[in-house]
Amino acid sequence: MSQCRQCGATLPENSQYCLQCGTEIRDRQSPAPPETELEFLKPAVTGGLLLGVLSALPFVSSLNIICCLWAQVGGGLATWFLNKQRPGGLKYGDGAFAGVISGLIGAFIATLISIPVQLVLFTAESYAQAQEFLSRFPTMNPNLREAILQFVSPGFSLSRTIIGLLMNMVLLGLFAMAGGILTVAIVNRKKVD
Amino acid sequence: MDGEPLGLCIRCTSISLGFLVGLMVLAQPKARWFRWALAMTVCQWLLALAIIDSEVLRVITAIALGGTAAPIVREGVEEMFTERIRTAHEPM
Repeated sequence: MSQCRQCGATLPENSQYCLQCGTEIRDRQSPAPPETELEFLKPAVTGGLLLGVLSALPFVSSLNIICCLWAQVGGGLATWFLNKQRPGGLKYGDGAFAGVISGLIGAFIATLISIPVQLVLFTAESYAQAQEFLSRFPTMNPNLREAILQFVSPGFSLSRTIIGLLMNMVLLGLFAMAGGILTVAIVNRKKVD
Repeated sequence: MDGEPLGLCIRCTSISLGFLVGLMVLAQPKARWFRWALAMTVCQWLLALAIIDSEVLRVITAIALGGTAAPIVREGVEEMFTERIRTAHEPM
């Protein structure tokens, strides 16, 4: 037995209308429409492309010091596109998954873009500057000094690229995930409150 | 801190601290509170650009933002793992 929301009258089972006031009774027991299957790849690639390019460009990428801003924006963009597939019906977990995928895609893109950037930025001149700078710290552990100099060696460096990829995967993945989740909280006003 | 400048600005430090506290107190996620905290942070940022930059306001708004974001992020991560694990174990 249920009650009419309009007048409070007790209603027989499976009533379509209230016998007292005639209000139409929406059947709360009827099954909810099936949720559309979410397609994560396209939104994640879009978000990943944006965050990867912006995180690799010199100067532009410096905005990542603000809580990995570009990673959060990329994860947020992926979730925003995902939200168009199921407006108002996303869960936090959906945003998290879209964010993680976009972060990982972005990490690969950022690393790829960083290869030509390395060739431009890591020159013999910058290497000499790094050597000169490190010489101001005579008490520094020689192994650490060697590792730092190896990291700024001129031209392309495979080890630098691999370390960069791993760091990008962790950082961009985590922050893009946070961006994806928080975007659900922003765009999904009704469902998550 | 201890006479040395922090590696992060006061806003980022406060967001991180608020986030940490939000994770530890295990509060329920409140999307509305998060949206308010985000709006207040944006307003404070605009106020700082246009009129006055108050460190106290920075700290308050940033702690609120971090603290309200933490339970949401935690729930999102939990949901993602439970959902993915459930999907992986579903019969084809």
